[in-house]
Formats: sequence, C-alpha cells, structure tokens
Amino acid sequence: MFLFLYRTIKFAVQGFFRNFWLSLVTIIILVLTIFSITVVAGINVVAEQAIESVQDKIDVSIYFKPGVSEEEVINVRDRLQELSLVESVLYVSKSEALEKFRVQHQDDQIILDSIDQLEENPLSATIVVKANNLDDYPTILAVLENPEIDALVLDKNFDDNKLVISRLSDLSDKIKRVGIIISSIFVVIAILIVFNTIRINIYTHREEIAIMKLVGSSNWFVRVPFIFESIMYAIIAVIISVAILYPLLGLVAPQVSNFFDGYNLDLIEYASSNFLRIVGLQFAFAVILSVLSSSLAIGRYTRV
Amino acid sequence: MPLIEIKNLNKIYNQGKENEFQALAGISLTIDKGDFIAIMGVSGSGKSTLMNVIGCLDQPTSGLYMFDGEEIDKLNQRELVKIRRNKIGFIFQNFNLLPRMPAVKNVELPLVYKGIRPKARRDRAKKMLELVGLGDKVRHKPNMLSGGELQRVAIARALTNEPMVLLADEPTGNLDSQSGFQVMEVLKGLNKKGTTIILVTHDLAIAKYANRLINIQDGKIVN
Repeated sequence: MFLFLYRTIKFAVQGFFRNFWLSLVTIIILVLTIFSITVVAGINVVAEQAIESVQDKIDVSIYFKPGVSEEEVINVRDRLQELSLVESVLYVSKSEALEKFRVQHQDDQIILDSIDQLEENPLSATIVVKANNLDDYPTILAVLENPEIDALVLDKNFDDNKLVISRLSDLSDKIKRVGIIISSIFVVIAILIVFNTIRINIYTHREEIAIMKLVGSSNWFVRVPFIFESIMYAIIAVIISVAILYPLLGLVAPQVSNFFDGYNLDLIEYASSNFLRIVGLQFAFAVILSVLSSSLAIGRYTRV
Repeated sequence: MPLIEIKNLNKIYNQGKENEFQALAGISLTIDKGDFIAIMGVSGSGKSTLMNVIGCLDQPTSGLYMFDGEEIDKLNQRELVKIRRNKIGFIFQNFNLLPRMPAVKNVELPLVYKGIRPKARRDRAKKMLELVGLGDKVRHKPNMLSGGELQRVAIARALTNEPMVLLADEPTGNLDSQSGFQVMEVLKGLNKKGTTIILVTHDLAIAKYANRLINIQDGKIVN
C-alpha cells in the first residue's frame, strides 16, 4: 500500500513537471474558478448578513392620541401580543417616552427648558411591534386598521428599511446572477483544461501504459496516478486561492464594513470563524471538478 | 485436458460496417502443456490476431476458446487481466521495455502488479535475468543493451510470473540472425524445461525450432 502510494505520488509529480506549463495553466484556471465561486458565495454572505441586520431594525411604532388611557394602550398591546405573527411588543408609557426624550436631548438645553415649561407631558404612549418575518408586517398593519384600535391611534410609523431590504435583495440577486454565469464559464473552462492536461499526459505515457497493460497491470493501477495528479492540481489551486483570498479580504473587509456602517457586518470575523468550512468546501469543489474531468479523460483514453 | 482448446473461432472487425474484415474464420486448435508451436503465415493472414485472442488481448466474435479449463468468452475485463498477469507471458518483436528503467526493474514490473514485496521481486527478477544469460547486466538500461539482449530481458520479464504459456510474436523480427538464433535457443531451453511456447513468425528457419507448425492463410488453418 505504501509502495503503491509512493509510486502514485512519484508518477503524479513526474506528470506535473513533464508538462510544466500546461500544469501551471490548469492550476491558474482552477484558481480563477475557485476564486470566482468564492467571491459569489462571499457576496451572498454579505447580502444575507446585511439583509438580516436591516431586518432587525424594522418595526412598527404606534403612537397613541394624548387622551388615551394607559389601560386602553395595554389592551391594544395584549391584543397584538396574542397574534402569532408578532415576535415582541414593547410598551413605552408616556412618562417613559418623556424620560427617553430627555436623555436623547440632554445636550440641548433649549428643548429641555421648553419641555419643562409645558404643564403636561406632551408625548403620547407608544407601542413598538416586531414581527417574526418581514412579510408579516402588512397583516399586523391590517389589524391596526380595525376601527376600535384606529380610533385610539395618532400615527403609525412603519420603517423605510423595507425599501432598503428590497433594494439590497435586488442588487444581491443581480450580482449573484452575473457571478453564477461567470463561475459557470470558469467551471466549463476548468473541466476542459483539466481534461486536456490529463489527456496529454496519458498520450505522453501511452507506450508505458500499453506495456503496463501487456504485463498484467489492472486498469486501476494505470488510472490512479492520473486521478491523483488531478487531485494534486486541486490541492495546489486551493492553497493559492486561499493565499490570495485572505489577504485580499483584509483589504476589502474594512471598505465593506464602512459601506454598511451601523450594521453588524464583520467579514474577517466571518472568514476566520468559518476558515475550515470555506477551505473544505473549496477543496471539495476543486477535487470533484478535477476528478470528474480527469476520470472522463482516463475512461476515454486508457482502455485496453 | 489440453491447455488451450479453440473451436470454430471467428474474429470479425467492424462487423456490419462497410469496412468489415474477417481476420479469423473458423479456427479450431488444441495446444497441450509443454507444446512448442509455431504459427506461420504471410502478413495479414490472421496470425497476430490469433495470438492476441490466445493472449486475452482481444475477444473473439464467435466460437469457443478454453484456456486452462476456463471459457474466456465468459470472463470480464478484470478476470482477463488476472489471466494475462498470472498465466500468460508475452514477448514482442519491438521488446516493449520501459526505456527509463534498468533491466531488473523491467523484469520486476509484472510482480509489482501482482503485489509481490520489493525484496522478493528483486531476487526473482535477478534470477530470471541470470536464466537468460544477463546476470551481469541487471542495472543496464535498454539503451545500453543490444537487440538480442533486449529480447532476452523481455523473455525474462515474460517468465517472471511463471506463466503457463509464453506467447512470442515475431520475437526475432528486429534481431540480426545470430541474436535471433540465440533468443530461439533460450526459448528452446525453456520449452525443454516444460514451458508451453506459442511462436508467431513468418521465418521458416525460426519456425523449425518448434515441434509443431501451423500455417494460417486468410484467417484459416491450412495445414
């Protein structure tokens, strides 16, 4: 077994250096393929995280009319809490609203003085409703249209973040589509290049293969070194793409974080905590691609 | 029981196509253990096709081919490889040696595929090279050997697995007459020790080394 492995590795390395430039081109194409697919996946992750962050900020704020009693507000809160679509309902009483207002404007003495000059608390009680899903808000808003509740409500504020999400989704979809097309082109090119490289290598070794078969070598014995050679291309390509990707991420991540300022989007943290998963997926993808194309070449060109 | 039994064997290339060609037409033949047979015929007569079928390198289109009690037609590729590896040794006109390997490694090759350990392989290969008179040239690469020596290395390689039958396709075709006769002497000696040999040649002087002569013409045995 050890000897077989040694012979396989030796044969694969020989094949690599015998057609060095072809091997190099194969690896470059594989790197480009892995890189483009990783970038598309990365964009997907950024878009998903951004959408998730924006989704967290969406809620409906219901402002009640000044004369509405606390009991009536709590009734509305309870009715909303009973809805299965609702994730949470936050009740902010008049006094809490005033307290928050004071904290928010603690540096603006004019506003604070104006509030003090008023005899009554001018702020109304508020209920902040968060839905389980973005698509649930229209149903919640429809419930609030109920005349009994509507008579108590001064204003409703459904955040504009929905528009941001829709635009982000559209942009991400478009980038994803373009990325998938580019990646597919690279995948096809990579399959053809690996196929051709292995085919040329088989052609170079054709006399040796014929002799091996004549003296009793099994198909497996002939084929494994070529498959291993293609796996070697995949391993080298993954190492190079990781060596390019991570430093590049260090440059790009701050720009992405700045762009999504205020949202929880740390690409470096994501890439570090998912390092093994990313490299593993890249490796699996590259190996499947290489083995598939080399197997096609081997099956076609190493028959007895 | 004969070692090889062939009945009404046909081999048709490109069957059903415009360029259909019948290489073997109803060949029947029996070969016993220890035989030394020469198959003769002009170029294109079908002698090499018969050799390839006997060596399990090619499958017949129809007819019966029994080798050591096994019906070859019923075996799959893996089983055919096993038979080639364990029961048949090949010698070719162009030697078919790997140029970058020394003689001893070339002889070892069939044992590698058989999974024999390196030390045992090396010992066996050296013994085989000694048997064909090349004990002093084990480290020589093919480009350092003469034609006759190359063919003797090929014979040593064919013998290394202790095959039941040795198939030699024009083994002297690329050799001068003296080297050719030396190679034939080696084959004759092996036959005397019990190895079955099937020789394909178009040279009557070489064919005379065999104790049975088969003439093929247009894919048929004529005498």
